[in-house]
Amino acid sequence: MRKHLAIGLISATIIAYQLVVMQIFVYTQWHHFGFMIISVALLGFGVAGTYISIYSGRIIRKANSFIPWIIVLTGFLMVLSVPLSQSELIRFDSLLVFTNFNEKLKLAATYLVYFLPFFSGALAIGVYFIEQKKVIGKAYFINLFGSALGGVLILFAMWQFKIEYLPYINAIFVFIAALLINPKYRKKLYYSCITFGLILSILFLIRPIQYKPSQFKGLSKAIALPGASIVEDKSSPYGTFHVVKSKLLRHAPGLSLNYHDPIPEMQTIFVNGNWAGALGNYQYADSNFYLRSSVFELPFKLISPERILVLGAGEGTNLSLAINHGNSNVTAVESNPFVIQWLKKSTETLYVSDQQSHLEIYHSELRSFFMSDTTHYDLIMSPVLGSFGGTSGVNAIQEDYLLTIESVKELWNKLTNNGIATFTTWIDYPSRYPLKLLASLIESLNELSIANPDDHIVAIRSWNMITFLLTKSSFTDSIKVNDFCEKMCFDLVLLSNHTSQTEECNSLQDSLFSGYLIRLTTEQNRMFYDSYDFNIQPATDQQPFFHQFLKWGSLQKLKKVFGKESLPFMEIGYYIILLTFIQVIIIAFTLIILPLLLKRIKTRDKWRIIIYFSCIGLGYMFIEIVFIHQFILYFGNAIYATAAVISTMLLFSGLGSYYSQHLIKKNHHWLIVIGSIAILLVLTQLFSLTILHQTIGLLTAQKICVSLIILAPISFLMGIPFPIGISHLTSNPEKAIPWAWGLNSYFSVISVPLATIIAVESGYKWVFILAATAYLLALLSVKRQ
Amino acid sequence: MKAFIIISLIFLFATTGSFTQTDDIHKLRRERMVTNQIQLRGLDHKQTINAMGIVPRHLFVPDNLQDNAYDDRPLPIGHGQTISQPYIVAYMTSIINPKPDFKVLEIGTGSGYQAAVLSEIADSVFTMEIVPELYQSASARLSELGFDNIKIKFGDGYYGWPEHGPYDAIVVTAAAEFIPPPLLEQLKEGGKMIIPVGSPFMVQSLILVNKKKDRITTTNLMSVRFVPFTRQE
Repeated sequence: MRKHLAIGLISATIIAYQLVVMQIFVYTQWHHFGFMIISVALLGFGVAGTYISIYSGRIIRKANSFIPWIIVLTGFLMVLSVPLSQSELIRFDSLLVFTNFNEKLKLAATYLVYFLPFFSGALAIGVYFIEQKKVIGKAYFINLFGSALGGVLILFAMWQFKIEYLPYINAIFVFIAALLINPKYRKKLYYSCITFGLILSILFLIRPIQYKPSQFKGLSKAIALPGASIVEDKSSPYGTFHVVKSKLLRHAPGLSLNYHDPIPEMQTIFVNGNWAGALGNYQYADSNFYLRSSVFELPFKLISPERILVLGAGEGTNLSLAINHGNSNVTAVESNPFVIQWLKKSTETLYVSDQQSHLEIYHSELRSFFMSDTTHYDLIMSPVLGSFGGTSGVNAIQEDYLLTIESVKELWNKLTNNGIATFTTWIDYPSRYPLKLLASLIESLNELSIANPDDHIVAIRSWNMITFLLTKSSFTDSIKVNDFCEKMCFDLVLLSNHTSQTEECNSLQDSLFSGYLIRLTTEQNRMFYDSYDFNIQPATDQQPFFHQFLKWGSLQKLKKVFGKESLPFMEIGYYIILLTFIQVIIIAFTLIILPLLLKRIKTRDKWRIIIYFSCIGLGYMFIEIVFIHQFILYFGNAIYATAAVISTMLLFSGLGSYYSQHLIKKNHHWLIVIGSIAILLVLTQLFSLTILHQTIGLLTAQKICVSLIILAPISFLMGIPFPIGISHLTSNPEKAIPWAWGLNSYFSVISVPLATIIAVESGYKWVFILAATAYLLALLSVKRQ
Repeated sequence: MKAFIIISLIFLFATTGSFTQTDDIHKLRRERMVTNQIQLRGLDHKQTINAMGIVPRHLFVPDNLQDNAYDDRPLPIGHGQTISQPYIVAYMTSIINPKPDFKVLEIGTGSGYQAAVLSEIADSVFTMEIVPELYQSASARLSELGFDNIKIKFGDGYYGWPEHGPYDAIVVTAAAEFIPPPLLEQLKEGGKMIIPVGSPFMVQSLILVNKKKDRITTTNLMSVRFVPFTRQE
């Protein structure tokens, strides 16, 4: 019993460790490095399986002493990995990896440092599986149940403790797991090691290592300013949150060159080390407010909105302006709870009770908010897109449900008859953001069967920003727009039936940009998507990657134009996913598959085993990724959706695994299970999205019930194929269990970046179809008896 | 003792020789940089080419990157800052078309390289840096290398350096999402301001600001002139 508990606990700590390290990387580097950690973790499991398979005889003989000692080693590796990875010796900077060989070596060292704890933890679990081969379903259940519990508990821990402390708290639980098992020999040394490990963890808890974000991140640059201080430092499952105060920080996007007065200093918000907004700039009804001389002001020149919806209010600009105009009821929506707290604090004294207008602040993912909200608005302000100087594609694989065709259509339907929706983006070169944004607006209007979509779009440009207005009623009156542009030195770039007579204030070296915008409003827009060197095809809910612009076919041209060394900085995010995928295939093949092939394991039906375990590994992870994607929109929170999906799937798969022992002797029942998975997957794909959209307005508790109804049956069934396959397909479990586990892990490893690449290129629908196909292939590989 | 003297002499000659050799190598690299990265890209502003051929760029980068100083790319100088790609420095210099009597203001000294290149052409260069460590190192470097017509100040570039204004040209090398009104005021009538736009390792375009008859206009100059970005249809 104590050993089962210990294995459950180590399973929990491994998944918790993975989530903590992912958070550390998202803070110190960028979002896409989180993917690297998932791959490293799965690689650790795969290599452990191979290692056990090769040395199974020796390990099994000493299993009783091997498991406790390897758990102790895992504890030490977890405690030491974070300080090591943050040491000057191996701390790398992702932007320097492409320019400096030493940084590549440091990256490789970081890989190794984080690989080892996963490898050793997985060794303990793998040996336990062999020990429990007669009740493999139960053993698999303990592993999955522990993992599910770890995934949920670490989220709670992330609220309670700062990210600096979590690796050591987690390690304490690993040492507790070691305490649960009594080794047969060297007991004194064993308990001394555990005591030392616990002391070491506590010492690090007393003086934790401070993580440094990349020197190129906004937070690093802000705190390097003289006199800058951090006035708030928090962390949660949403990541780290900092507020920096400095007399040198100002924020004035889209400001007119004709504005001559001072720009106020303000406090700045950083989420995961990235600039996220400016605070303390809220002034009620002040006509001299500096943002009235910015591109954001245009809608206020055309209408006097009574109801305003500000999406992504934490950025600050739109909310400041909406508040500043007064006389409006402003609804502000923001997804980060800490930002919400600061918004409330900064605005609490602005409104007095006798005013007609008021401000309501909501905490929600933006799209989920207006999907469940029934109010209609005169003005909807979307958050600013991109960043000054371009984003270098760091958000390429980040899903954005606000910028899909479906989302724009929903926004349109939330506008009153004379309502306006605004979309502002930084201008980049070569042009990507403005073109994709306009393409999305036009396609959405086409899908809504709006006659003459260009009658509903107005765009003006400053030297570095462009604002698009989407007007509910057709808009052709250029006088007010022209007056505003002339006064502020902006340029009118898009307005139906309007040709500019005045000289441009902000000219481009060539006139192609205006030509591109006009082509997007014509019927030739789709031809233009194909011919343009970047992906500017609008995003959809099935492919919600608005920020992904890279076209593989254009790489050669971009290399020629910008040079080989600059290429990674064009669209770095997607580039890293591809590099991760290639690395993972090579490393995983070398460390998992090749040793197994060279070992020449004797077992019957070798190829059936290869196909079966590969397919169920690939299929399971593909399904998990698709569900996470669907539930992010449903729950309105990426962190909770991921935790809910992973934990529910692991828990119910664990139960399925436990139940599988009843099916071991019934070959036809087992085949029915695998066939059912494929059928249920197709049915889920057909109906789940509709169910989720219909029930999005329910309370969270009700939504959890709906998600259980969708996830539980399929997850239960998906827990059966692995343990039952072990019993049926293998004649030599000592060899075959780790081998099957290794194969399964290999395909799990490669499926993470592969699913992302498929989703970006073809949409999540295809990830789902391929998952169902993988299960069908697994079914076909089984020999009928 | 004899052996010691001989060894010392050999060492002395060897190191002196290696210094001369290293200097020659850097000079050769600098010449190649000017020919291959600047002139071959069509930049023919004589004074700029001359200045780029004189300023020892390798002395403006961290020691461990000296061998890469003349590569066709930006290099990190610490604190999240970079020394721009040689072509970008040359292009920015040529765009403002500095004259021998020019007074130039630079916001964001960084390594001091851009200021050094400008100082080879203009009468005086005033440069400001807000990161204390960068200010100290650039200040020491520029003084050590004898760039006497460069004045460096530690402070917030937002307010410019009004005591020496107005300026014939202003170069804003630090990221500038908005143009501070005080800088526009300190720009002479007919003066030019240049702002690079892009990520730390890739300047994608340059914004040229003109001030004529108190009207401010901008022109977005593509640093890379290979447009259009559409394929043949």
